Amino acid sequence: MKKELITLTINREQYDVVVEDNELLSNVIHDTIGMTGTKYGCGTGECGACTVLVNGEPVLACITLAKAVQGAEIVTIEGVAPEPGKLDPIQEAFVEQAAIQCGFCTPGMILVAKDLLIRNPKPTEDEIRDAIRGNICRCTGYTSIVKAIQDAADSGLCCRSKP
Amino acid sequence: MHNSRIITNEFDFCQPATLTELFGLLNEPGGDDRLIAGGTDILVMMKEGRHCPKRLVSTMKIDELDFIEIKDGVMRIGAATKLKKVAAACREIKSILALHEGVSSIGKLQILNMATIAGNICTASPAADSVPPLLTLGTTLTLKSGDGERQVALEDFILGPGKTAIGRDEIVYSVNIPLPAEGVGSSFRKMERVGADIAKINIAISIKRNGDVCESCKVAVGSCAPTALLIDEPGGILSGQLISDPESDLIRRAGVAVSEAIRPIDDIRSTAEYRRKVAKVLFMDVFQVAWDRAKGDAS
Amino acid sequence: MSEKKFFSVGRDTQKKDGYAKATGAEIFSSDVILPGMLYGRVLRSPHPHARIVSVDTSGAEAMGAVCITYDEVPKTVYNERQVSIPEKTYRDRTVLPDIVRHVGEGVMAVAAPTESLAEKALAAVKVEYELLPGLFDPEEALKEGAPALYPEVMLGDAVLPIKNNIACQRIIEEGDLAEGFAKADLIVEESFATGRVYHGQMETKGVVCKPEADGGITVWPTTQSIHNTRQLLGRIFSIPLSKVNVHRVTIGGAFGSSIQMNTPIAICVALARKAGKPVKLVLTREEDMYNHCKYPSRIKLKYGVTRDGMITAGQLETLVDAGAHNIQVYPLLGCMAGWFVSLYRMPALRFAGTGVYTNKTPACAMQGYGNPQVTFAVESLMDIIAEKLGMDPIELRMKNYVGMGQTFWGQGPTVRSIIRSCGVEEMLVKGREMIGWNERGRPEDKTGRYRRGIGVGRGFHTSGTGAPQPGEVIDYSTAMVKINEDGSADVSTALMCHGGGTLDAIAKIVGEELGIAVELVGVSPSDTATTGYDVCTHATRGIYCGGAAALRAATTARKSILEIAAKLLDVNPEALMIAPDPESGHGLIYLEGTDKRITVGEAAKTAQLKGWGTAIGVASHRQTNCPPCFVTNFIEVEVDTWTGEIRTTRAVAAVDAGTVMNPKLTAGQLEGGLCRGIALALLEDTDYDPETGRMTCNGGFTDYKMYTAKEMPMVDDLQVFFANTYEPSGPFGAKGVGEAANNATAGAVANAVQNAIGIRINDAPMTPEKVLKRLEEAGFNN
Repeated sequence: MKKELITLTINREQYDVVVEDNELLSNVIHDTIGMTGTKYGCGTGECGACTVLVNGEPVLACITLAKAVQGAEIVTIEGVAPEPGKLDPIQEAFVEQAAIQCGFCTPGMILVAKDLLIRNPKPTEDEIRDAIRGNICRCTGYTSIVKAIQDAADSGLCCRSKP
Repeated sequence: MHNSRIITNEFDFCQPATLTELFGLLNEPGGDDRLIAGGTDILVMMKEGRHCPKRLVSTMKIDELDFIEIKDGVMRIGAATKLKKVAAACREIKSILALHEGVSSIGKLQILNMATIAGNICTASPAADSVPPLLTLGTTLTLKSGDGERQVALEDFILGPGKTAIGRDEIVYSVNIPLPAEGVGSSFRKMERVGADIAKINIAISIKRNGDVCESCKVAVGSCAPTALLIDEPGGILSGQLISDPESDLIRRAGVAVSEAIRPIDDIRSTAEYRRKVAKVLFMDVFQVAWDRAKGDAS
Repeated sequence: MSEKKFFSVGRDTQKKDGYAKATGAEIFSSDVILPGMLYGRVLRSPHPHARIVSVDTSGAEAMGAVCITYDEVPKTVYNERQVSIPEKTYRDRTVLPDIVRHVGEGVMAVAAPTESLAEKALAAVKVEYELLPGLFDPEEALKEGAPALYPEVMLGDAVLPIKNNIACQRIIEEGDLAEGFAKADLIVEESFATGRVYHGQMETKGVVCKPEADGGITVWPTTQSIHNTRQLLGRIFSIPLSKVNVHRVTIGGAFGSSIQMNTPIAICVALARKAGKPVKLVLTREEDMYNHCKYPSRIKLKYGVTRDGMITAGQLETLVDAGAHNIQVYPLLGCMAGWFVSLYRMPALRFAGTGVYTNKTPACAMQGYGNPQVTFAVESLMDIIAEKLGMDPIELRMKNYVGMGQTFWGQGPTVRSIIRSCGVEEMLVKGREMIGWNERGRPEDKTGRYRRGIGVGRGFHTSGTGAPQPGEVIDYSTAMVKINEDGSADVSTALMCHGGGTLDAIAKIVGEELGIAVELVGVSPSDTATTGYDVCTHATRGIYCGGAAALRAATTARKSILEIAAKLLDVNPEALMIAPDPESGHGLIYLEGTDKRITVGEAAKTAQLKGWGTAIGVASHRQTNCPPCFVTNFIEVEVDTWTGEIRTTRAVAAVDAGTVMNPKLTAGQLEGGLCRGIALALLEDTDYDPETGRMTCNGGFTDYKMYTAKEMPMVDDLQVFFANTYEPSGPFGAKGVGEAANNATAGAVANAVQNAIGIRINDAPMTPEKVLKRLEEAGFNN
């Protein structure tokens, strides 16, 4: 099968990768580039663990062809923190609220929350729950996650920084 | 057992930037092309080995297909317009709130950011959440090919699960929704196992109200037959009737008619029996909401 | 009632892995990438029961793939689970089988440089099967003449013939049952069922194995026990344990799914050894769902009670559909008996349990290990009895619960202990206030389409499996604590954290004992080469058992640093105290009432310079007790009587965990347990097509549904609290939490549904389809 060199822009940096037409963004990010924060949870677009931002919007990398996002701005969980050793207010809130247990759903949850608070800096609880309805967490029962997103919204610090 | 981590079958992935380029590809001889938009259904089906096209032709880079315009009382939505944009546009127009509700309930946030209106229609899933509201609104589709274009009513377009009336070299160009006149209220409801699920049953209604008289009523139900069904019986029962109480026996009778008109089956999500029983209830629910909306004091 | 004021234990502190998990930096086993690594894939049986006649790998090998088949792997008959003693361990499987006994069972495996190539190689493999009849109903399987899954299996080192597909049986009796029921004024008997639920841990099972030049192997698996994984790999592949090193890797959720050494691990090791290269094998979601599930239950439960509500006798009979392998049915049955015995006092009792083989996905432990199933039945029947007696359900529970000073079976009949801390009454009294119990009303007085009801459910779980004498289950932990030259400390243990904060609690226990802030206690990376044995992070034993070992190790290290300080300060070490500096968190060693003081760091550094050695402690410790952590749930549901849909609108979840180590994490355990418990009651199950032997949900998340954020009660409607207790045998008064969190829930939901609509549903999950049917039968109209 033919291989092609493409350039992906991930977390504001350019990555030249050789891909086949049938390769999925999730595998290119996780296996080829080695950014392992983008998780495989179901492969069928049901669990949200592979969520990344494409041009600022959460999408499911496990059902996105790598070649389809050439030229787009991709942000993974590794690109959310403002600088090494620091956390985005949403990440901070997740840590503070103990909204992270096993941590496998956390990258996807945080990216969805990031998008939500940029679009809607003061979401209601219903809006928060609606936004994360496509992200399954088997550990927490969601209460701490909802609280963390509320806290991040209350801090007023989230909507300013676009990832 | 298939591998949901990767797509095993090999294909060429083409992303034409213009319609001309697209039709050029579709007209190449001997092609085994499959159109792909957001890919949220087709890529999963390919992982499962349910589709193995030799070539995938994407509509997503064609800017000409990404538009929403309102002209002469018709809302035209370009085929490649993402559901999020469609949902937002419909939220602003009271008479088509059912479409806003239906589209917003498709999958999840991420899916709304990926999937397109034409994709939801062309997948031809009996459970597609955009289809019942579109059916009640009298939606037509504009299909284009290299040779020209044609209009087809949505109910004539979807033929069965995964089957549409689209030609091999054709694409859906736009989804055309005649905007209802004043006094129309609509509503959508979906029953699902958990949030972000495929519908067990979904229903949309569009009511034309004049004072307390129901002038007309269009109902469509999804996930209860090989395609979503436009159901005439409630219209027959309710048109011209004075609705003194939106919970009256008359409404119940119309609900029973809905239950009788559907052709549900048992599947993993629910049973035929259950779908029949709740179709009536869902009808009564959406009727009440749409009736209030049609009055004009509720949004 | 805390016996001591703590500076670290009981405070909310940031989870140590929080930063790494929030930034995507945390490495799970599916993230391990090694140079030159191949990707493994397993060919899975499409048939529920078949003999493998031949496997032709030539096509795959022509592509350059490494292939392994039954003929090429060790034939060691093993059981994935290593927690029981060998004489009580049923063994019925090999690395690869010659007969497949469920759809999805591994047939052979390949490894290739990419996953895509491995997949292509798999597609080129040809397998010839001889189809055998499949069995999907446990009652059918028991019948004379039913096809046999196994002629024989191994029990310990003995061959055990299998009759009627019975994997094992246990009958446990105490007291005079006939007399007990004869004394009863009321005898109530009902049947209950719960579903074949899938663990649904977010990370599928996976492993990376690197063959070493010396013939050894290094392994990074998803597991709850690195040492048991090592022992089993050593035995299967005949490698000395000193050459098998298993790393602790962060796991993306467990819930029991990795208590055992999961089957992909041995397959991956075989592939890597043949390839001579590292191999990574991560299951797809579909493979994972066909790998394990929760034990489903069918329970017949009978109680005799006097008119004033005292239980005179109880009997529980259960049929357990084990699926294709007997991973742990024998201890499960013992535990189910124990859960039954330990909820309410019975002067006479009988437990009879049978585990049956069927051609389905093998069942294994999942949060509660039979406890949610038993408690669902018992708590439902308690309410039924209360109603028949005209008694408040809470009063009936108060009269009969097993509490302070009474005997508790923590792990079946051989693991008994005396309860020394108990918050049952406190939780019932406070919880009933918080939920508004007295306003819950009677179902017959409720009207309208949407009806709300409130239900109570009690429950508990063991904290570990320790006992005064050795039993059927192995239980001990090892820890090492050393004090560093800057006053920080490291703790090394083979315990796992499944996400609930076990290792944070270990760090707190160590910090508390050493008098230094938890932030200064590092939890060392762990592997089997550098840690002492720890049985497994299961049975809610992490804090109570693992923490007790860590505390003992810390006590030794503390003693050592005080001896060093005593020499330097010229005082008796027994007179010295340590307290953390409130600013820096560093430990300050001081003699009360004097100015004699030195920091822990200074003492450690000076000891190093003088060549006195490191202050270090090692402890390998078995708890002689396994106290119950009690839970109580009050749940309010709303039933749509027109559609049968049930929504959980409010809940109060309480735990008696003794001293709570980290309040927010403990609350998270309760909230998560509640969510999974409600799902057990209302949502989750897997069904099998008897024609194909496949799950009707096909093994994916498209049709295996778990709750999303939309179904859980709003933040303000879910309240959590902790009973104020202190467990004298636990580290700083602590007991467990983990599994207890979901044990009481399903019963509370069933009782709430009954309170809402007057209909008692005994077979979970209570789907809308089922509920609507029952509503119609009861005369409700939509």
